[in-house]
Amino acid sequence: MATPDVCRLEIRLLGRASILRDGAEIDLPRSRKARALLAYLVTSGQAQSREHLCDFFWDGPANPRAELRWCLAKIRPLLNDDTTTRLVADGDYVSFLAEDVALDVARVRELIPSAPEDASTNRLRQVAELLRGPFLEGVDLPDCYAFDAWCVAERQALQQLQDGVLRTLVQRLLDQPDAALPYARDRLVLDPFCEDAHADLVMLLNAMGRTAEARERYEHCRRMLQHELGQVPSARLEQLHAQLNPASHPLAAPPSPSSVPSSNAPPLVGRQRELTTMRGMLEKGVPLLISGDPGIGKSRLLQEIPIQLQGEQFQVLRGRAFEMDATRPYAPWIDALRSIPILPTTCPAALRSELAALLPELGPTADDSGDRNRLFNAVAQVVIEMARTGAPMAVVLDDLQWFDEASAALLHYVAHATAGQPVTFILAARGGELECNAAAQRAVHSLRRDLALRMLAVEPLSPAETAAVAHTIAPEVDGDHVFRESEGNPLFAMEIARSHQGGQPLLGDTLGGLIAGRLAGVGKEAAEILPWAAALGRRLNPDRLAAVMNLPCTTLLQGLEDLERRAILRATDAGHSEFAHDLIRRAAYQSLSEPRRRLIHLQIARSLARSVEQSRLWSRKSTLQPHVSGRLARSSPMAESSAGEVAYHADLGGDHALAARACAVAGRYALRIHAYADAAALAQQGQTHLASLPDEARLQRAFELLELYIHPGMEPYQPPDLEQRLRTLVADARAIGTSTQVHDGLYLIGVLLYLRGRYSDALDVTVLAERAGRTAEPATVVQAVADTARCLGMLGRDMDRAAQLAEEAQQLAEQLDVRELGCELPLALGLVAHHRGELLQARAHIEHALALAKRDRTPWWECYCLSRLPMIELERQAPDDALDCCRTLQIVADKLGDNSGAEAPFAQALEALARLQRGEHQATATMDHALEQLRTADSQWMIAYVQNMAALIHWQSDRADAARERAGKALHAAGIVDQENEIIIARALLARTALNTADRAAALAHLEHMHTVARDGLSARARRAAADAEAAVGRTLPV
Amino acid sequence: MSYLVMERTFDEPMLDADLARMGERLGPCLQDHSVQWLRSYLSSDRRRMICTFEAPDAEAVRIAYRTAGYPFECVWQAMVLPTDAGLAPPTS
Repeated sequence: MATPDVCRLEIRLLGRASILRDGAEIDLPRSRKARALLAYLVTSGQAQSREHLCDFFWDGPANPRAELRWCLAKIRPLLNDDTTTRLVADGDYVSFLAEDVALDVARVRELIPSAPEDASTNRLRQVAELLRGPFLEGVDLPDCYAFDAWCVAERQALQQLQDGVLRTLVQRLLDQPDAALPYARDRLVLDPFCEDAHADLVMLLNAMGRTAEARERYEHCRRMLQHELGQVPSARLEQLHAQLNPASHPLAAPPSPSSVPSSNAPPLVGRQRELTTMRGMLEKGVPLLISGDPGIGKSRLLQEIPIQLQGEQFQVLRGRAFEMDATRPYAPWIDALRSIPILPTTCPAALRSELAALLPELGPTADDSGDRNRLFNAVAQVVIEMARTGAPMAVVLDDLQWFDEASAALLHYVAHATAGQPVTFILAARGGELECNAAAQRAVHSLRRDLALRMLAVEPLSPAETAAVAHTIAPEVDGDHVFRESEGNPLFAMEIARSHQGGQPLLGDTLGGLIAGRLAGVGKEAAEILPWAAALGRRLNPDRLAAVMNLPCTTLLQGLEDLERRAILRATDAGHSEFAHDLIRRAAYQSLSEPRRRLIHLQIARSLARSVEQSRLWSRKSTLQPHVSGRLARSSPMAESSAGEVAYHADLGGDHALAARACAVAGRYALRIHAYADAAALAQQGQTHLASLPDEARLQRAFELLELYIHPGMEPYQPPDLEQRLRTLVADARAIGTSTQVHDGLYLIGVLLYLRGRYSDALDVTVLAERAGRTAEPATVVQAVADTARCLGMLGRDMDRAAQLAEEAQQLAEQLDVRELGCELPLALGLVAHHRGELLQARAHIEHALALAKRDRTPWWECYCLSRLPMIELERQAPDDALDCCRTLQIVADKLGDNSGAEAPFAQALEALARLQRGEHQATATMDHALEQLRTADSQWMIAYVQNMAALIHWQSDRADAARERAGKALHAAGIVDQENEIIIARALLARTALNTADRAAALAHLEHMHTVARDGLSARARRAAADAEAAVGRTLPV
Repeated sequence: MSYLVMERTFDEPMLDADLARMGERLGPCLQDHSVQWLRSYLSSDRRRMICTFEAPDAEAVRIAYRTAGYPFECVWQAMVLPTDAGLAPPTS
């Protein structure tokens, strides 16, 4: 029994929609429409008519009421439980009763009924906590205009409310800047362009004494305003900035020349609190996010984990993101998985082909490209397997703020999938920058909400600790002075100490300024390398550096040694080099003039492209799913993954042709590894380079880039006018392009329509594509259409549509000479002919289908086809032929060996019917026995068919009572499965038997029921039965 | 609507990926035949499975599975027993 305070059902619609029953999350339906319907009913709080719901959610399907019923069936078990019915579908109205339910949206409105300014601070805090994400995140239905408009309006209203709540909280908590800071940051996440929020952040950071960070925040905002909006900072922001530059940094220290220290790992000073927390979380298995300013020592703390765990049984999986990793999906995870040296030998065979998408060294990728969850699951399984069979595992991921969308989604998945296993996640991120990465922010939110992620803010060092850090580099430097300057930031402290050693005057420079000063003092070879290294990224592959610079080995080595000696670069475990800190790389990069940067990027792009070209990766390959295209050529993903880098450098180097081409190649690679957001970003980026290309190249690239959207995983990213854009391109190609481009474009449209379920349109376009000269066979499209037709035929539903699809598939198969199809097409044609009463034709098609089912060794389909043949023969009044068919059917049905299946008793029942038709009345006993077995097997349609056929035979042999009894049973069985044809046939016979006993009322009642069903969709058999009954009634009764 | 139980066994232990793939393929077929999946039980060795459904009849579940290309041992109609003291298993 639920207590009054604790609701049994909790519905969360803010952020990712979820439902918790008694505290445990339950699975929501996969259908977005069902989720949307649930949200609408729950939020609207009033009864909605079915008509309104159909209009609101469906625009054009054949049977919106059936769709609505299906959706309601999906959500009913989520909302109702043993004791409470919350979803009430009462006749024409559907409503949600919020009994014993906690709904986050309602709670928000309850807490803040009017303006946020009128609410208490406590309430505002509660609401800020509840507003964990946008309303119905990810549940968009752009095709349902009414719902879409409602959802957008709800989202905007809640977003405005959230902005008001956060703004009010920041104002109220000005005297507690520590408490106000998270709210100010959340407000910035809500609107990164909100200058007011930036100003609040600058003010709070300054009030907390974090002036360096406040200054960086101001700079960030100023640059953003200038680049994105073309504006200058407001008077308020400028005023706050002025307050950040007091003459409190009058720094001057005696310069003293000294040697340059060399060190791979900077010293770890202090940090006892952080180390204790980290250790505690590892022991308890609680995920931890370490945050702090750049240079504060987050990465250094992470480096300390293996040292701290020395002597203990622990495995560490380590990866990190780099600022330029947006061009390399999953980069941190690839690094992390490669940090397991034994993976190539120990990876379970079942996971190998999935993981090969990320780690080509594991062998060929899966033939069936699968979906993202399978890849994610493979990564999770590897982690779980290692932790189960070896020691507990720490997954250490650094620089979360630079995670690409795919890496963040994988983090979310693996963290949830490994919950309860001996796996602990230790993450690190720049606090102020995480908010600019929505995907990483979402992952953090979900880990906080679901896995109790703990946050650890790395604070500045104390004066004594700062001095100790500085003294490891320059023992004679004034520690107090370094502390005042660096505000306890160890990287800053070390730079000041180095600057002091290098004889530079300490003039209150920023960290960036100090680093730039140090970089200016490197030797000739190092100075030559530095700009290229900085442009290539934080991680350096010396071979690549030598290749792009065309540099002799000796010069390269001298330069690298010099940079390592000065702690600008450091060697990594993999034998490469990397910048000691990204701030150092950034300073080196920013010291380059704009034209020089462009030239460097251009040369890097062309050099990389040459090496990629050599691996023949630039030929166009389809991204279409194998089940659609079946023509996907495989290539080495290892080299293809470099295309993202080419795109990045070509973009910055201003080579539009190369950038567009590289975006298309990189996009295809991203699709293959299910990095859909990256693929969408590349498609968009590539299109910005098209305008200046010559016509033919422009068309070619435009098709390639739009093709990226035609993939089941890209549905959320598809531009609304994708089909129109493709059609425009096809029109352009007709005017100025080649015929190959025309048919490629048409084919893409065909596949897009196919993916959207518009099979008939897809066929039309595919035929057009064929006419435009395409030589590839679209057997898969024909097969899929035939499959749909067969499915409808088996259901006996929407037979006109089944007939249309089957005939189209047949025409297309003939036109295109498609062979090697399965039994689907002839079976669909046979079912349609049977429905229409064209019995000989039906038999021919089904015999063809039977032959194909035998060829393909699909026993159940063989059995299904065989069971149709005696039905046809019985309806043709050919009992001897029916008996022949039954004998074969019985053998195959017995072979199926399915104890509770209905095939064997159905075969027996059909045989008994054939005997009855021949006048062997003793077959009734066999038939009743078979019917009993069909009842046990619970196959109502078969029961209805057999009983109706038997009733007809009885009626024709003047056994009206027996006919009435059987027709009654048929009506009951057909009613259970809503089989209209059998219902009509049963009622028709019941009407006629009623007339026989002069029961006029019963006869008319059956007739009336029959009139409520539209005749168009009925089978020929049902129509004939209805017509016979009506004629009989007409003859007997005055109507 | 009937309450239905389906039993399956597997030669190899089912992986999560196999289950996910099965769910994807079965979903539309179950929907076509008005079958509503309720819950599934997978044995600890991942070789046996029992699924429960609500559907008009057992044949609807069978056809859905066969159309999707998945074999099964049997499908049977079931009744749900109330969990009162009289029917609960004896407690030790």
